[in-house]
Amino acid sequence: MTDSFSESSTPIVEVQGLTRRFDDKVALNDLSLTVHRGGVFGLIGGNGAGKTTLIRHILGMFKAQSGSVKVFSLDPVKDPVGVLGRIGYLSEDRDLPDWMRVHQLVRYSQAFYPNWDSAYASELMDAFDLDPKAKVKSLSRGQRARAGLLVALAHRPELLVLDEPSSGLDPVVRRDILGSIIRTIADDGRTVFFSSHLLDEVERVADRVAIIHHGQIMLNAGMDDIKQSHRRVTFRFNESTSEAPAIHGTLSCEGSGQEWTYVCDGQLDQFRNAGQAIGAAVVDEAALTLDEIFVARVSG
Amino acid sequence: MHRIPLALLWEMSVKGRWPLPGFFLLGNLMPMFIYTALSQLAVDYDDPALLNMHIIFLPLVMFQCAIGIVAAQGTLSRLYATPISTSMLVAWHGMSGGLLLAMEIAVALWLQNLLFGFSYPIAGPSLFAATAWMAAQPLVCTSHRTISSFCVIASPSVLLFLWLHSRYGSWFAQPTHYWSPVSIADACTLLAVATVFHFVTVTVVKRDRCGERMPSLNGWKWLVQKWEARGRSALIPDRPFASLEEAQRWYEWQPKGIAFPVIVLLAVSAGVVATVARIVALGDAETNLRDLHEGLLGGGGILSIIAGIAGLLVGSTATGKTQRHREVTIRDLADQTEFERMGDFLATRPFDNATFAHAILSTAARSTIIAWGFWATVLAAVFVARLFAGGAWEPILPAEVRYWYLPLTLLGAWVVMTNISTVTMTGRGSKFIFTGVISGVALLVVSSIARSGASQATEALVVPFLWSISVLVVAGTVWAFKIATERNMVTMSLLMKLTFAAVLVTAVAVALKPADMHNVGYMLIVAFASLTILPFATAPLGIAWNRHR
Amino acid sequence: MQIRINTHDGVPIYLQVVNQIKYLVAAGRLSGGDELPAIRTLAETLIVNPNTIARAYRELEHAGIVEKRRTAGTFVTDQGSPLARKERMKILTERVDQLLAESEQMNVGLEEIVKLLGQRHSVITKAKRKEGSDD
Repeated sequence: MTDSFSESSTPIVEVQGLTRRFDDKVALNDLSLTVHRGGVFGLIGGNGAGKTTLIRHILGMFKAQSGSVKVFSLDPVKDPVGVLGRIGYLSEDRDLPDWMRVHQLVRYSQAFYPNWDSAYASELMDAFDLDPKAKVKSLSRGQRARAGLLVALAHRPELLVLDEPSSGLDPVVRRDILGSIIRTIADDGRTVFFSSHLLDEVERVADRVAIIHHGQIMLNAGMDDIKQSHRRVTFRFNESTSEAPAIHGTLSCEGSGQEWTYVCDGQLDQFRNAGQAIGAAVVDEAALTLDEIFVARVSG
Repeated sequence: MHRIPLALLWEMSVKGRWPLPGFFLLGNLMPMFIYTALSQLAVDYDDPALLNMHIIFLPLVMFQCAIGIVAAQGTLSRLYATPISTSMLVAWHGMSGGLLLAMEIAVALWLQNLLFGFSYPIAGPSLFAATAWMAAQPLVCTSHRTISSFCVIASPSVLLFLWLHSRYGSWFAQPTHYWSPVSIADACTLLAVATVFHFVTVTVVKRDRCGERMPSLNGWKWLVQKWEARGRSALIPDRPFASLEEAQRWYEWQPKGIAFPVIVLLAVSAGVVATVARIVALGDAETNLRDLHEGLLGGGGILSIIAGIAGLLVGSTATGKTQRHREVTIRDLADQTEFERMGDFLATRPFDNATFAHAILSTAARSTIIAWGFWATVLAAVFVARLFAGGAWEPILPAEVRYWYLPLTLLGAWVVMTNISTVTMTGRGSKFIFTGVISGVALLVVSSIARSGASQATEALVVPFLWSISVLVVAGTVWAFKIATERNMVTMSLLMKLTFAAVLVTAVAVALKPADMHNVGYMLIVAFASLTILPFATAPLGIAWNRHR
Repeated sequence: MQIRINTHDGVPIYLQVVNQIKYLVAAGRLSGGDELPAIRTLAETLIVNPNTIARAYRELEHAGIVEKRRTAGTFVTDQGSPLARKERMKILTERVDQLLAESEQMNVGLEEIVKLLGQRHSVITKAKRKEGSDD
């Protein structure tokens, strides 16, 4: 297992100063992001933060209005074959041709990818318990997601792009999806780029996380760094106040009276000292889940 | 209790602010045009033609307005979970819709009377419209329908319309007079029918509300199963596709390309069956076969119209969004956000836009050739049958083009199908179609004004218009090919072949031109030739425009 | 080997893996020479990024609890009892710290805690003895 996302490895996705407007609404605002080869990159953000818009740019379904998008150092709009042939993608609404049967879908998709792995495809078909004769239209949500995943995985893509892969699915299917993400990157050199708002999943599988908010990247760091740098510190002050005393480095805080709980980012020692300097004592200190970090970042 | 009807009324007015006026205008468009045209000819009000037109247009206008009301009201099943009794629900939809429809019909007829000086009856048709609305409720309100239940519920409506016909004379013969005044018996009949249908609707909706399905003979299911059992080996190759082009052609053919041949096959067989029935019943094979032959010849032109409709389908790259149950409003049609856009699945297949466009064009070609082949084969067969029935050897063909009529119909269908499918390939089809309809309407108005003037004025208007349109088409073709070649969507060798084809079409057409052809005719021929090859440039461009937004 | 991942208390996942394997070794449920599952296998069963498991194994190797054998895989080391005892004490120390922190918040003094420990110990040993005589 190599170090994933090390800065020296080749960038697989490079987004530079990307802005996208829909009428007067700004969906992406001068966004820049680089994804390096290898590992799992989790993109998290609230509804309407711009996750899907960014992903659609990476796949060439949106043309950059300003800024640039490069995938495998190619322009996905100018060279769809070069880019899309190396990508496996499952859209948020699992768009598939409804009129096909599952085995037709497999055969049809096979024609597009020279390195299609038939053995792997039938292995997945068994593992996912898909009925080859079933019509795609008649599949349940979960089976539909599995069918879409099969076609996205069977050519062993260099980059797997999943837009909200777990939304609206039961835990069993979610496990299948996460399992296939893990299997994909266990093959060396492959990359998974996925967006989600189920943050415990992201915490489990992502090496690196970017928070997108109002069309901009707010935070982009390794999962370990994020977990290390964010702590929750509870101070007890001498006097009760109606508003939390300001401490430098605060992301968000809540509490009442004498006890106030802060979420701090980064320099923990400095933060503690700053609190103690205004006469407060640390009563509690704890690590945060990704969920809590996200809420603190976005609402703070 | 007051609040619910008020809330529903508000909902209807908000949801209906586009569909209600839209469908009302759409429904009235055609009658208005025809009446405008007729007013030039100074048709007398007592003319039977006007009476007939009134009777034909009445149900058509009614139907279009009803669609608008259905769109404004929404499905009844949206209210199934609310604490409102079923009879109350049905009464609300029936009464508000019926009232609205009666009003719309009254306004439509009043407008016709006002603008064209007719005195069409208003009371009777309006009352009838309300009753017809009630009669349609069992079908409109339920969320599950089967073919069997549809037939059972819809058949009384046939009777209802025959009754309407009888108000203008007799039940089956030609109408003789207008329906006025409305007798008390008429009013009572309509009221009784409406009441009966209200209770029928309540019964049916009660079933629907608790999820009981309509009875079915499963005829459609049986047909589909038979078709699939038969067609599986033919339609799904056992080996993998040799290339992605082959796979994509398969994709294009199965749900879309097949439509055109099937429609033509059905239409042609209907004509043949009707003729055979008439020959069996009435004899006189020669005359009937001659009628069929002439009908089929006329059908050659209609082939292009069907090709246009099929082209809308062939060019569509949207995929079914079964997961997203969105109500599509007129607004959405104008916005184009989700409705016609290329599906994510297709957009992310690794092929370039030219490959995709060529797969669609080759499907269009295959579709056109097979459909035209059906038609031409039946035409030839009917000709031979007529010979056996003692007809003359001389084939019936349009005088100007003779045998060239056959390739012309093929080429016509190709031009219409491919150019219209290119419009849908852009993923903004309805915008173009909307623009097309508007300019068509404008054109009609201009031409009807022009026709009223002197013939010199006509020529002064029409000839420059034709010139400019043709020049625009030719220039547009050159421009489209220039861009497509720059973007490597058209190779040099393809460009050569297409140029050759266009020159060939032009040469043949010029050779066949009538002796007294106006100068503008040459330009029209060149424009037509351009249109035959134009899709090879515009289709990849349209796909790219749709795919990379 | 039973490991549970919990994403609700904020402890980094690699640390959870490290702690639980340490615990299993200290409790004697993993003994010297036992093979740990391959990184990929464990990642798939736990639904966790393989890099996280790799990091946990590295930390364990660093602490001398496991060792990588060149081709075979990762094995628990034949550690002497002192190390195991050290680990045990470390785990117990954490628990005791937690207990002390809670008792301080509840205003229960150290003496009372010590007394409570003695009481509980006699209750539990009595119960065990009784169980033994029942058999």
